[in-house]
Amino acid sequence: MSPAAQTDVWAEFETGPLALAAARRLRAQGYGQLEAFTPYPMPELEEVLGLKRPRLLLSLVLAAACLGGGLAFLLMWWTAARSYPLNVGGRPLNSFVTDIPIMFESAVLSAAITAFLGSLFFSGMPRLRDPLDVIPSFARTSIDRFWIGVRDDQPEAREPLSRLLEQLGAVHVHRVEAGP
Amino acid sequence: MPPLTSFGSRPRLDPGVPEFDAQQEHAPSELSRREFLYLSGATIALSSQALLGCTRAPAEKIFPYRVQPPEIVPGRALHYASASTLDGYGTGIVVESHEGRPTKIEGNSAHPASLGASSAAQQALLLELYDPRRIRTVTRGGLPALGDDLTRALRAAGALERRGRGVHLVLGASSSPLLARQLAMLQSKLPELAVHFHVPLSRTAAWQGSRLAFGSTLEARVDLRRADVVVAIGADMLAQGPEHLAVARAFADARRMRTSTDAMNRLYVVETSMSVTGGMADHRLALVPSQMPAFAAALLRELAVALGAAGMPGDLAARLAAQADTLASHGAFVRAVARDLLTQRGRGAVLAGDHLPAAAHAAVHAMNALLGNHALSYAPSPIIGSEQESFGSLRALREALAARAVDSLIVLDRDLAYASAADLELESLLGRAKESIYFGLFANQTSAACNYRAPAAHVLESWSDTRSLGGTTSIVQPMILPLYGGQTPSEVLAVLIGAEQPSAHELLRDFWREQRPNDFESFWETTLSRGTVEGTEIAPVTSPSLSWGWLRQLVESTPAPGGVELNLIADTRLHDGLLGNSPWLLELPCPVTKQCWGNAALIAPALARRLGVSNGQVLELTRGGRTVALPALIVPGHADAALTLALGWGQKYESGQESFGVSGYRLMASNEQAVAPLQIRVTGQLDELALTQDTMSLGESADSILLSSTLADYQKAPKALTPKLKRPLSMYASDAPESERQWGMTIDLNACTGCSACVVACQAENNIPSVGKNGVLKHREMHWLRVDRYLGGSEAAPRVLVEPMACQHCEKAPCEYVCPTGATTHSTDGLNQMVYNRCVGTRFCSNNCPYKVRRFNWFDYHQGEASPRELAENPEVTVRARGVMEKCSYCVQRIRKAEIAAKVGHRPLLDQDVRTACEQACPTQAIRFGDINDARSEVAALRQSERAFQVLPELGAVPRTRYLMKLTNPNPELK
Amino acid sequence: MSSGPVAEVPLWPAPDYSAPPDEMALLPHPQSDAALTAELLDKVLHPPRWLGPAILTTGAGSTVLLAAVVYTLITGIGVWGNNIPVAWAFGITNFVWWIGIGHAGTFISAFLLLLEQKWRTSINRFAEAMTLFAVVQAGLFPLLHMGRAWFFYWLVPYPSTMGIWPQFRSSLTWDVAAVSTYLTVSLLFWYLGLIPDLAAMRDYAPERWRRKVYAVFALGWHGSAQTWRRQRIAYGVLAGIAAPLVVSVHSIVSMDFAIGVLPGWHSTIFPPYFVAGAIYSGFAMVLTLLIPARRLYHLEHVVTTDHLDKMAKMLLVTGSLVTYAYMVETYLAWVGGDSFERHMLLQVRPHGQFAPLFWTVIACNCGSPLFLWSRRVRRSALCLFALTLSIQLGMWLERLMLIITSLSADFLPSAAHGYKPSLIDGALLGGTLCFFLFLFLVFLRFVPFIPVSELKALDYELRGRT
Repeated sequence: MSPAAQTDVWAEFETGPLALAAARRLRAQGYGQLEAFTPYPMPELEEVLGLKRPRLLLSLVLAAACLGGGLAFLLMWWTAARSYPLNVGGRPLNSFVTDIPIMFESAVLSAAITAFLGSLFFSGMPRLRDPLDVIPSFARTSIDRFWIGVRDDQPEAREPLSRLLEQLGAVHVHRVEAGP
Repeated sequence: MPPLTSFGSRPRLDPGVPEFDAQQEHAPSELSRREFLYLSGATIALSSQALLGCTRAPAEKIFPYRVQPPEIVPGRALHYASASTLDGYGTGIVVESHEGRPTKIEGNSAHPASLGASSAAQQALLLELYDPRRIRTVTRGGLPALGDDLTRALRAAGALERRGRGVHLVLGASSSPLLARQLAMLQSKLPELAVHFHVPLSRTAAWQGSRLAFGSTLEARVDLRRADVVVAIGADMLAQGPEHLAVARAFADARRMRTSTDAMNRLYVVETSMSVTGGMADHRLALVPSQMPAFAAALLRELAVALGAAGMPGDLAARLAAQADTLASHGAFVRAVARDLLTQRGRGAVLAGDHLPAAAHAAVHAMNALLGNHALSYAPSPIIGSEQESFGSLRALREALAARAVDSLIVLDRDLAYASAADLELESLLGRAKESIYFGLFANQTSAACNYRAPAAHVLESWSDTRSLGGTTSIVQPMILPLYGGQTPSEVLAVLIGAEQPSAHELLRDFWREQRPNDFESFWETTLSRGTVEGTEIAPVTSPSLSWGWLRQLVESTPAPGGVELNLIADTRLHDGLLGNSPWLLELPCPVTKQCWGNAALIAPALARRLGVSNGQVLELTRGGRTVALPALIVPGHADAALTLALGWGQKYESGQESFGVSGYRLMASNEQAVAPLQIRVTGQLDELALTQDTMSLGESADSILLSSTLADYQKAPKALTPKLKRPLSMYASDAPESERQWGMTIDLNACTGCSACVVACQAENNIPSVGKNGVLKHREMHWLRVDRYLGGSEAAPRVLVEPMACQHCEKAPCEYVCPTGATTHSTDGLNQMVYNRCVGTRFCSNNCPYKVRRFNWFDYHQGEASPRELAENPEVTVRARGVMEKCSYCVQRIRKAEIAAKVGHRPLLDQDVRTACEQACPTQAIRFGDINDARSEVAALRQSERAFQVLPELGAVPRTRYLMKLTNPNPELK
Repeated sequence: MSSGPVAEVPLWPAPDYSAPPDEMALLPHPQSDAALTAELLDKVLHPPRWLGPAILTTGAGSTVLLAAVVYTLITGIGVWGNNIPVAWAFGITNFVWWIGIGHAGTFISAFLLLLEQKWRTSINRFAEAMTLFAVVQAGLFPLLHMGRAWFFYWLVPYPSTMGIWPQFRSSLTWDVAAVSTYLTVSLLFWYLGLIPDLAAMRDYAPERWRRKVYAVFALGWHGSAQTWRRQRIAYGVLAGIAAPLVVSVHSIVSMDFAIGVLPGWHSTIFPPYFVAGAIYSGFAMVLTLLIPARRLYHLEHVVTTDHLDKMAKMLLVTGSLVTYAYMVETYLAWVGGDSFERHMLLQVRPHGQFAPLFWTVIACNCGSPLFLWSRRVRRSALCLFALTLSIQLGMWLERLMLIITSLSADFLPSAAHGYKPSLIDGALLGGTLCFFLFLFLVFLRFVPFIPVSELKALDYELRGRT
């Protein structure tokens, strides 16, 4: 599940630009699968890694909104006009106009909850541990460290890869055995 | 009958407010619920009958009214005819009783003084019966005593050999035939016995007046249906007096205006302070008390000149003119009234207030005689001892007490110490009686001064009889056994006479058996079930001969003392203060000032400005060396050089602690003629007036609130004055089902006097709590029905408009759609329903009610009720819990009851089957309720009237309650 | 503490100032990510000396609230000053005021994010937290003001033996939906932005237990590019949702009055007018909290004078909107044919028994923002602080004035009555103020209240691109 599971070589950089440059270089060298960890979002890096916009998440949010609003209307219509009709101030039993506010609110609510939970779920959160925790300085990612991970499938090219990474300014290069 | 000692030993509530402690409007319960159940258990064990059970109906056979058979069916209310007595005059009532406990009082339509209507005071009898402060046990010198000791003491007083020397008996005015007989027997047995009638507001002057004019004690009775011009000189006949319910009905009938072509009478009122009657006046003149005789003189002169009074001594005629001239400033008014009376000769009526001097009464009698007014008739008074000059005077008693010549004093439920002229000093003198026995409902200063204190029987606990002004006799039936073993006056007198174990029931039956020897039982049965004894009306005296001897007295009637005069009047709710201060009456806003929980010094705006007095500012009034301090209340239309103080307030309890308001008796003089002038000192301090209405001006939107016009304008263009009632356009058609029966109400503002009897009737019917003075000060009164009062015209001559205001049961109710829980919705038959159980108390409905007639339970008001107060609750109406809204329900319980009855009886529901509590109590039948879809119903007809209008029609709420425009009939001569 | 796992990290080489200067001013002092993180997180790990006592005091104050609530619930609404006709007063005023204050946070986060206003970065978490705690206060009153608060759940549709449902034509049921939705969405929004910083705390905090606690709340965040992307997109979506939500919530609150028939309530201008007022008071509250915090925490280089200046401009705009609403309302009453409404707006409010209230409102809400035309005032923390206080007073009084004037003299003169608040009313208002501050201080104590990662991102954005 976690992207770290597939990657083997992990290079630690001290600055965003270095990491970004390294990623660009690796992409140029034809390393297909790259992965990155950063203390703050870096749109350029995301481009380099070629991340797509999460369509599924967005469509789920939209669906939730429609569902929430629709159910709200059904509930109000059914309770007021079907389940227990009452003459309230001579108003019609099904007064759609007065239903609009609640329809809107419940649409918003369900959409928001979906967006929140969705973003966590697809990112595999909440999660207690990460395979990369074995790397000693990995904890600094959230503070000021940048990581580029490379899945290298040709064992003979290992040395050049590590050297390349060091040339690109990596302070450390770690090898992590591919997870199960 | 064993006393309920378990109750007797309970601590009492603050006597000030039976239901609540005045200081904190939410008093903690006297008895916790648990305690109460425990005690009532004890009660059941102690008493032969259970207090709460279904078996507290009297042991003797009494006969239900209309409903047969008499056996009590649980859940089925029984109605009994009885009578209440005020100042000795009886008025028929019908008491609703559930499982042997009376719960509601209505008028008896078969009784001429009631005609089915009832007054606030009558409604309040119920609360008086269940008042937790009632005397519960016999005490002697404050310590518990045996009933036998008391009987022994009574026997001693009635001992033959003493011939009644030094024995003084004090009782209120009475018209009871039984009592009359007993008193006669007593007098013959004990010739030296002194009997004193204690009537703080007696009609002695009126009787004297009749003696002056006609030579015998006659009561003047008026039938306003036969009068087109009515002149009231200091008379508040629409709200007070022995027959005021019937008088008000007749007055309204003469102003009903079913069609624009109907005739309408004209009312002139001459009075000092604004009264209910004054509010209805077409023309009103404010005079200080001392000017009243002068006005009578002036009017008499005008009439005499025009009609040539036969037998009027010439020399006096001149003096009469001279006195009339003292009113020169109002000459135009007097002449206009006179001309009106002359043009309507024979179809007029001149009435005098009880407190006017005898000569003025005589003058009024003379005027009616000269005009030959058919509206008036004269008949002997039913009141025992009314022919005595000294009737109602306590001077003799005072002398005897001062001379320590009173061996035994027997007081029958009269608070002498409180309700008597202060210069008699009875409060301090009563203690001088060697032996004194007080029978009463409540402990007070008088009972405190007496040696023995014993419970008296309440009217709803007693067997007795009473007569109305016209003589119609009613038998008073007990609705419940005496809660505390009280004695009736007849039983006390019987003991004095020498009876062994007198029972009021036996005494009464024996007496009437003598009156109606043949077929007594059937007579008894029919009488009790109808409520009146047939053939007891007093025949009017045909054309009594008029004498003029009194004229000298009139022209020599003492001039004004000068300065500001004191005008002591009977309170519109508490009367003379001896009605037991029920919270219903205390919290009933004064129809004129809208003040409750107290009285005030009423003064004219002009005088207030002169003295630099504002509302609530405390005045110190000194007269005859006595001083009282009370807040001022400015009343537009009050006579300038006078200051009015309503009696009946500030009664002292045994503890010496005063009830609400200030006692006017402290300023009362036994001889009002020779009295020191009044001194007024304006103090700096302010007192809070508990007013239920702050604003009395209609403001700029008057036309959408209350429509009024003059008869002339109305008849010119009947349809023009009321806006066409169209259903407002609406985006939404209601798709809710509607049954073909649709309830609605109309209120005729031309008939409504604002007397407020409906307010108390509503409170009694619907278990509405009183909130105490603090509650009212915080604007939290709970009345479902209030009587709004607006003033037009000038502050010197205001035009009074009253408008009863309760839930309008709007067809498109603004209160309903804002309720988040659907606790208030619309029934298929057009009722705006309040579902207490579903209410969470957001109060949005009250905010959105344009009429502000919804009430909120800010506290758990019923929790504070001390036993046995809760016995007065109507079992057919929910007692509301804390935190829920409540409001007028159109008496839905009565509607459903009638519908069920009709259904069970397989008969159609008739218009008169459903009557709301307010409608039933209303003396003038201004309130009408019924099915607006029933073409035959009164309401349907009234809604079609040209005078019909909605309040706030522009809001599109479509209120179900419609009002009929108020009309006045001014004299074109007077602008 | 400057020593720690990242102490020896060298400072970032002097950046080139490529970004426009006014944006530069938002982050004047270049700092390395490490230093920035260390500085901001240390503010939480090593709170200033005054914080503890402050929390205790406000906590004690909150017990007043508790006492007042309990007393009201046991005895009845009668312990308040309310009456008939003035059946709503302090309770609903506090509700509207607090919920209004609660609008700034989401407004700043959502609208300004969508408008890509960089200056929101250093203050948004502050504002969001304030929003949350304000809405908590607000939520208290609709419950408490009920006569039978223990049946509050009857406003929520649930199948019951009674077989009856809420009445959805009432704006009070709309309130339930609006307020609960708003609270939830604000919470999610706030938390989603907070996760990366919680992770930073987890990785930075020296003590083991702290790491554990923060680890739980960080939900295992490791900041992979993929996660960042999703987080930012979700954040954007929430912002897109929250923006109309902010507008809807106070519109619905305004309908508590607008759907009524009362003169001075029944007005179509209310929704926009209330929204403007809400954001007005909200921004005022943000400044009221921010200005002292900025000083006490020495954050002048993060929350700069430019930030204050921009906030002040928002105050000026919203304040002018509110003033405009007042004028329109009065004008419409004047030209409109409704005599009751004319009487209410031209007589009762300016000349009636509550006239002092009315004129204070005008002075506070229309008068004070006028000072903000001056740049000097806008950039002076002290002046701003004073002004925000007066604006908040004004906005509170405005709601009270709005409610009690219309209720105390609506249609029938006979029903007109005044209103006097009780001691409990005051206790409830003061209590919520304490409780609000209490929650806020607790937030300062445990949560990174300046969004570290966002600042680092901003820094990178402004200077990093070399």
